[in-house]
Amino acid sequence: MNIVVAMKQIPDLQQVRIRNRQPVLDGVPMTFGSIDKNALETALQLKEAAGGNVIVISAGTEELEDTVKEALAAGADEAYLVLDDELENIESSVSAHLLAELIKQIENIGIILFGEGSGDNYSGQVGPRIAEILGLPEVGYVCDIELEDSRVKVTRSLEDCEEIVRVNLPAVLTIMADINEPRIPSVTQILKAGKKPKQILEVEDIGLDLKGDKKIITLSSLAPENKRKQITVKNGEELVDALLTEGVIRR
Amino acid sequence: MDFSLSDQEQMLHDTVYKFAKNEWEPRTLEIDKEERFPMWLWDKFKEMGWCGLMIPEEYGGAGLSLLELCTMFEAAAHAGADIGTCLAWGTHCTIGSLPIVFCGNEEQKKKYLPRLASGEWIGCFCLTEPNVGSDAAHVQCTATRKGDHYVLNGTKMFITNGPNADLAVVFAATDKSRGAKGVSAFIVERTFPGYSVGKRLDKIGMHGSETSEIIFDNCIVPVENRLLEEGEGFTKVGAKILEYERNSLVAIWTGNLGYNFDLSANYAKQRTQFDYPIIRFPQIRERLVHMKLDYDISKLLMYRAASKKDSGKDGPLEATEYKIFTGQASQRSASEAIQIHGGYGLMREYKVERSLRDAKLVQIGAGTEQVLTELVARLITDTRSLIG
Repeated sequence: MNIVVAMKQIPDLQQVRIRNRQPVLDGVPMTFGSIDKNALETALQLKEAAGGNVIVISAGTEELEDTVKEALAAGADEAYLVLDDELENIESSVSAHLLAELIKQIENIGIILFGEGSGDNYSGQVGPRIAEILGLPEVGYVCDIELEDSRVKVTRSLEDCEEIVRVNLPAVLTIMADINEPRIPSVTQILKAGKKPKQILEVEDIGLDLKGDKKIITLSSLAPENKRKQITVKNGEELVDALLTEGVIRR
Repeated sequence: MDFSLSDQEQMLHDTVYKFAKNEWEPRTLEIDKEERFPMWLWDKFKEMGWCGLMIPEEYGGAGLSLLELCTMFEAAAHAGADIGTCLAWGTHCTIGSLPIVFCGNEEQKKKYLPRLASGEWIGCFCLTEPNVGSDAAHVQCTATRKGDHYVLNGTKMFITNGPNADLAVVFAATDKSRGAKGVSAFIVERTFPGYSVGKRLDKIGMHGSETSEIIFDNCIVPVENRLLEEGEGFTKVGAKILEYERNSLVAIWTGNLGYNFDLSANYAKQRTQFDYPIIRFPQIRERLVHMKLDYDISKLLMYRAASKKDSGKDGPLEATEYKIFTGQASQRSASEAIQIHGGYGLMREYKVERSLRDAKLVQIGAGTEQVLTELVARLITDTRSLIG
């Protein structure tokens, strides 16, 4: 059984600075979203329990070929990638079509895993969209998975309760961040990562017209404005009065 | 000339940096206070395959190059890993294992390297003695052959990992009359009769590494545990390993230069005096520039020395210049980091004072600055000093 994990390349958020409400991305290395890493860890644990192959799929700019080594070093066996510099900031519907076409090229799929949301926009759309395109069952908010022959027993973490469902395979599952702690790649896995197989496709191979299919245009992406009111006070008494007036403290 | 790391080197760097930043650096105050090698960390190193870094894959190691090894040490210390624990780890991975990698026969490699690579055993290196430091060729410890074994007698001093090591590479005189050419090297297991761990030593810094004397009292070592031939301990085993030691362990201090800079720059941005963050003051800016220069120069010297060694050439000048520079830079950097932090810099909580306590060793261990300076003088002028 092949276990497919969809991962999205994003800038390393810990290294992004904000200047004039815009993210400064120059020199910021690319990585995968943190919940995507939980999804990969889930796949690796399923493989350890029941065997199979873990295949990472992703679509992105040319840098993705380097970024994917991170997933291969963590233990994925193979990667299927669509590389094109036009793939920066593509909308969820396009991602879903691209990845669905990639998935069609993989045989004997049991489970397709996603993080519940991507590390940057967190729209949470691509997993459900792919399930719809491929006509597969989809279960979200997954916090536990048990393999049962041709089915899986899945625990969903909902607001007030946990729901347990059984799903026939193949199925799409979207994973919660607290399902596990992603492993740190061992040195030997890092050394092997560069030699693991990668299937690389271009957008043309998929037969999608990126510009034609564009339905949503992002006009701007700004950090929230941090409005601070400035009041000058001469002494502690005035400070207390000002805080009372602003409702920060009460008598 | 391209100074960038390969993808593989970069990934090793990033993996170590992230781990050290998230799981190691937050516990360095505790490690420094406890003055014990953190076994919880060693267990993680075992899981991540960090114990046999330069041991070939066929013996269970990762088979890394020297540059890859240096990159990992540098990344850990740059992220804030304490120099002491790095030193214990580095000692195991280099001088505690490499004598067997480079000079061991097939049987010795098969017997010992897998245990060292997995981290089941910890290695140490016993050359220095109470009265023999820089003059290492004149070791007092003796090894007398008696049939199928040697009997070792003597005391080794300042042994990093001494209290925890399961295996020691020991240098002892098999023929005192021949000086350096009468020294032999042995693989000695902790359980061999006559091997004991002496006094645990109380040091200024490097608290994550434990240091002790190792005592050999009629210690029985089988002949098959001798590395190379009799008399080749110092001239071949020692000569080969010490250059690796000079190259690799110094990378820890290179990383620490980066850590000092990062801590100081961040502090200077946050600390406000006279209505401005102190990073706006010229004297602070100048200090930070020099700290960054020291870090960058040390890193470039590290790349140069390790790349040369990896290309199969000996680089005594490159390794020695690297160590001398980094030793001096470590003093400057730690001192300036404290200066920028002001009174807080003297507090353990702010972590830069540890850098000052840890900085001195790199000017003393693996060749004192005096001995190394004379070595460089010989190499670059092709002359010898008046005093020999």
